[in-house]
Amino acid sequence: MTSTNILDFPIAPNQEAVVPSEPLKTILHVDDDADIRTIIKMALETVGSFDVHQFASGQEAVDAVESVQPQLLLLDVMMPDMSGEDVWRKLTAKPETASLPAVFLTAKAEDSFSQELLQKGALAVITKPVDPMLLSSQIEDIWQQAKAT
Amino acid sequence: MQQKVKSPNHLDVVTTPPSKQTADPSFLEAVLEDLQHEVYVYCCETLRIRYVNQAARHRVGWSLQDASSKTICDTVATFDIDAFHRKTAALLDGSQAELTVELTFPTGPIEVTTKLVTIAGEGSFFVSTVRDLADRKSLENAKLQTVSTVSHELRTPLTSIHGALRLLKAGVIAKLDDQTHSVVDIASRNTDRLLSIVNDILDFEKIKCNKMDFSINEMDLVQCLRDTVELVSGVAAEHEVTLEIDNCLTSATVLGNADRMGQVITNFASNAIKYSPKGGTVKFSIAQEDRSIIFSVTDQGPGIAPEEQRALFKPFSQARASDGSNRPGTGLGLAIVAAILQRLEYPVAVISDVGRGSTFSFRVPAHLVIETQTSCKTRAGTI
Repeated sequence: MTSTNILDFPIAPNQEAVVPSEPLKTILHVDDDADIRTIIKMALETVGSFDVHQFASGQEAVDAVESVQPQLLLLDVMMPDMSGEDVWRKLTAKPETASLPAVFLTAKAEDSFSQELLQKGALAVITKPVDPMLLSSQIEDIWQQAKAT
Repeated sequence: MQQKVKSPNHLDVVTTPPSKQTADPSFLEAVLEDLQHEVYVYCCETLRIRYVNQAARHRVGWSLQDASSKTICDTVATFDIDAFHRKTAALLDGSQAELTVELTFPTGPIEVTTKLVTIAGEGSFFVSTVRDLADRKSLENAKLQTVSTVSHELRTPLTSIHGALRLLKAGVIAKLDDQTHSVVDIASRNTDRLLSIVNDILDFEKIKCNKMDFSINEMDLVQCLRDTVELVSGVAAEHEVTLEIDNCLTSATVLGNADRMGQVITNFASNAIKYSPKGGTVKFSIAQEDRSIIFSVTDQGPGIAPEEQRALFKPFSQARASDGSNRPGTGLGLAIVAAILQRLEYPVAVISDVGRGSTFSFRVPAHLVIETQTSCKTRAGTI
């Protein structure tokens, strides 16, 4: 499968992600790198106390989203088959997951790119390398801030 | 008369006896006329062209007769006369001997070097030589492209190693004994170093390939300094160095790019901390001078000898401190700083006193300063 181009999705990403008032517990994480998945899982489950459901590709995540029922998407931006932004677009195009909030992880410290994702409604863009000892509190802060607004 | 001499590698070398080296004007004119670089000679007051050689006439499409009625502003449709006056002011007041700028023309990149020449009985002239940089640039870009491709490939595994070591070091997986802890510490420190090399290479490539965001907005330099000082305060504490902000401006709104300025100040601050002795102080200052703003970082490090200062802003060249030591670094930090400040048109300066310390500074020119606010005469705050 080739990478999905942004133009293939004429629908704008969800501008009004709904952040529920209850505490954040379930996170759906997508990253094609197995080692990064292991570190993120430890960072969020061992250092933090979230339930993390991980997938190696966007399609696997899209297929599993209804059974996982996540409160938050944590998406790597650069993935070979489907980019993190494309996963988000696919999910926000579905009525049942249209309001899922998303946080992106990116190696691109490109400010304009991060700004673009934020303008499209992403809750936050975290630049890699992430500090696994701080990630859970970063995610918690992002969640609380989004709830407050 | 010419004579042949034997050079050490026994090639025949043709030399001219010293007495004949002052060639006659027609000889020099012929050489100048056929020079592969473009040469422009023009009055430093009226900017009226006095002479342009063949290469220059060829590019601008003038005849010799056309040239005499033109000024240097006529050489390019987009000639920025204000920027020209700003840059050449340093030649006229003697504070700079020559001025070199790189420009990108539709035909490719060029380098323009300008000097002020005074000829007795004739007056003062600017002499600008233009060199085509296309070949050099394409070689540089190819080299940079290779390095950055490798860096991209290195970054993902390095990110994993960095994360794994961080978890290990924090004792999340198991409690480490002292010996294991110190070995993990070595691995962690060196991974951080590798990651910063990779990030510096990628940043440098982005700047060189015009992929770096340089959008210009109104930004507060004082706020930018406060944010950066907070960011590096942990590193300063590790090195047992005190950071001090000494400025009377409560805000300094300038035209710039906050992210790039943060990068510049972080680089200056990291270097100052790195070269400071334990217990030393690094001072940051933002001061108004006429209508410009001078930002400076002063350390109490070993200082840099004048001959080492020349290499400071060149890529992959880490200047040796006057105590003979090298600190861990990529040798790209100040090259990135120089490239950013050049793009923002903020002149950079270094003053170093061997054995006493160095001050790195940049100046936000008056035309890029929007407004400043001050609430006291002097204020020093320690972080």
